Amino acid sequence: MTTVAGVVLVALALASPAAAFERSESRAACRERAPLRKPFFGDTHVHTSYSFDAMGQGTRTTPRDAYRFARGEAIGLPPYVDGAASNSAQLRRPLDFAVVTDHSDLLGETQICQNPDLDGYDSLICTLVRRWPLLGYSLVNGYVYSNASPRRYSFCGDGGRACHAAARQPWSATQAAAEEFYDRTPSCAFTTFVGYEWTGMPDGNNIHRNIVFRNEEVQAAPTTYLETPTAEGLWRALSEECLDSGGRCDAIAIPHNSNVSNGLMFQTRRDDGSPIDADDARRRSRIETLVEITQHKGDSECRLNANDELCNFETVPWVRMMDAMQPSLWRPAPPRSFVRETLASGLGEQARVGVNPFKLGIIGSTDTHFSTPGMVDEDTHPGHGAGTVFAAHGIPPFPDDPRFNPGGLAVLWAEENSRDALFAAMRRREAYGTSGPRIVARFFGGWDYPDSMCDSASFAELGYQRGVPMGSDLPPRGSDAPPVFAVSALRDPGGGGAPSTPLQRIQIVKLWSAGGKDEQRVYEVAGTPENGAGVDLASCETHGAGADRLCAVWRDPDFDAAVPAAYYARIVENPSCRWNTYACNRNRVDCDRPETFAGTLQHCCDPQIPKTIQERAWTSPIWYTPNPAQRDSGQTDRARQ
Amino acid sequence: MANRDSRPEPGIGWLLWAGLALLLPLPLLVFDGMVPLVRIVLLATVTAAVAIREGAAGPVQMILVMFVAHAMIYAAVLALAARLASRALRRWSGPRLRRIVFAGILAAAVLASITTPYATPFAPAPRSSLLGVLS
Repeated sequence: MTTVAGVVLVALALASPAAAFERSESRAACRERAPLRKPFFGDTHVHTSYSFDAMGQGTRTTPRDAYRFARGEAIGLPPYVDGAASNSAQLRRPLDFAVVTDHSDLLGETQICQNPDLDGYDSLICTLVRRWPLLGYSLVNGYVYSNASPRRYSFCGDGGRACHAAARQPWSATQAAAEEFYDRTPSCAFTTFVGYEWTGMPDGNNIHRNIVFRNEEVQAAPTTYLETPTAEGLWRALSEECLDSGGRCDAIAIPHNSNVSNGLMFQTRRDDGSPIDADDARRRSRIETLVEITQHKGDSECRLNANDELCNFETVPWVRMMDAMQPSLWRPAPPRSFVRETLASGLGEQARVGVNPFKLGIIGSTDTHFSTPGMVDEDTHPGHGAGTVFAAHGIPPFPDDPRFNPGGLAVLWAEENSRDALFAAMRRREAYGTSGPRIVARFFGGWDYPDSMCDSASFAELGYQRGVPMGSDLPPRGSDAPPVFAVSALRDPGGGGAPSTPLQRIQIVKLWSAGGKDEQRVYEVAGTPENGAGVDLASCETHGAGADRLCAVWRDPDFDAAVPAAYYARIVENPSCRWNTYACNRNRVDCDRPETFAGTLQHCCDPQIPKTIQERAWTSPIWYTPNPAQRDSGQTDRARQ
Repeated sequence: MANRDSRPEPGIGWLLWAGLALLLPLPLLVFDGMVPLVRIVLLATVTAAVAIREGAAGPVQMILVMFVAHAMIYAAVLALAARLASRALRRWSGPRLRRIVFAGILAAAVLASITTPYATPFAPAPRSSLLGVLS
């Protein structure tokens, strides 16, 4: 028996991924360890009352509450009457990890306006914020965030000293909450990370990044857009104050909502206007290893186009958030406003400067402003705040802007649920995003996977043994054969009342850059869109065929060994009801009877608002680079320059 | 020269205008409010104070323009309405009419103070009484 177990262990060790993580902190070893890695579900984009916009629209919960919620406890939602919450929310299935990422900008101002002991409490701005919250929110939020030359309010004093000082308390409390709820015991039940959101928004163009720290060693103060108004400056600050500080500090930055960046999220020019070079690209990809492809304020995968009907998914029609209420300003988004075209553009940049600046893995998250990480279920969606619906007066029957959505989840493949293991997954991009469901997706690339791999009980072993997982570079080519990709997806099992919808199909999206032109093609590799699946809009019952598991081993039929390429998989569920359909059914809206849909419930009868959704998952890409010198040497654990 | 009978009663027009400005709920576009003109003037004043004190960056200028535009348009519309009403009331001219109009406004003010006829999106509560919108 011992011999058999030993053989199994040796076999597993041989098949295990080469790049393990290094421990950077003191903690008990996890009781459970998965050499072939497990998917851990979480949310890396969470706001609490420490964020000015969340506080301004009625949120009273703190980072502690956010972590309580992520672990499965109920917390209060606005409105608050005499200090007590009128609503509550609770996850049906707890998360494995979460990151509270309150806005670093206005962190001190938010405290000053609420604490009568702090200088500035009686200032005009703070009085206005307390007296007329929505006016305060409308004036203050855009004053800082949407300004090309942001500056602090006069009550912050010279050099913003008072506000910097006031920001220390919430920054400490954020770290303390992360520490309190991080499970350092051998059960490794829940992981937290210290984080914040750098809220760059020049002229209303969203260039936000979420910063996630590997362990408890973090920046003394979070970098702000007010003091550091460019992404280049942010990377420099993170390098100087964290990555290169000589300690254990390590961090990544996760861009989000390139869909409303007006093309500024992924620039190929420096702040001084000159084109980036290899060092710039390296610096960027060292810190930005992931991108948030979907969240509350829209999906950023791909622009609407005739060749991929599934790009018509949770899109918003404006290119800047501040244009949302002015349809006359809506226009087509500039290049690199979406993740797919940015990934393709990265290949072109790699050909130009020798390094791919946009080597981005993929995750999803919520961007909740209610302190509710992972609150992604369509059937119970109460909105996420974020200034889209002013919740301080109550959550309306139609709870959100009809073009927004509950957001998604980040999934990390790791050996155990600890900070180092999960952070290593983020660093090596072995991650994927979902629009909410807990689909389990594996994606491997290599040169000699067997066609029978899907039938093998050793799918993952083979995947690691003979190739690389999502987020990696294909190993050097051994023959003239095209690369082989093995993709497997398991349906979200549901549970705890959460829905479970069958899978419909898997696609592989190929991106390449040739002759200065970025190209893309979508291949159907498993399942079929013609499966007759549908949903009854009155009851939201789904029907038709679908799969519990889909799997394929796929060879690129158009492979050109001279052309760099990137491949990612998209896994799509059968149609199900979108959140607005649940809300409209709950309120018994009948579009033939106008008396049933007053106020915002009128959205229920707007034919422009989709009634159904095809939930999905997107894997991180696998890259093919013909020139071995340009291949990623592997950011296996700690970023090295 | 206009016929004396066709002229509105002096002072009644102003009294009516003041009453309407103080009490009549008017739609506040974009923010879905229903508030009297005095409230809009108050909002414009506060926003102007922010613009002067802190600068009109970001949305400050836009919101200020919106409030001022609302205030000017409604002031003009209420003035026209008050003038038309005072013309209609001219046959009952005299101190008695002024007393009746004043009493009517007072009664409406009392009613507006003990109920919540105003939708106040900017305030801590979604609906307010007259005292609420003036505070």
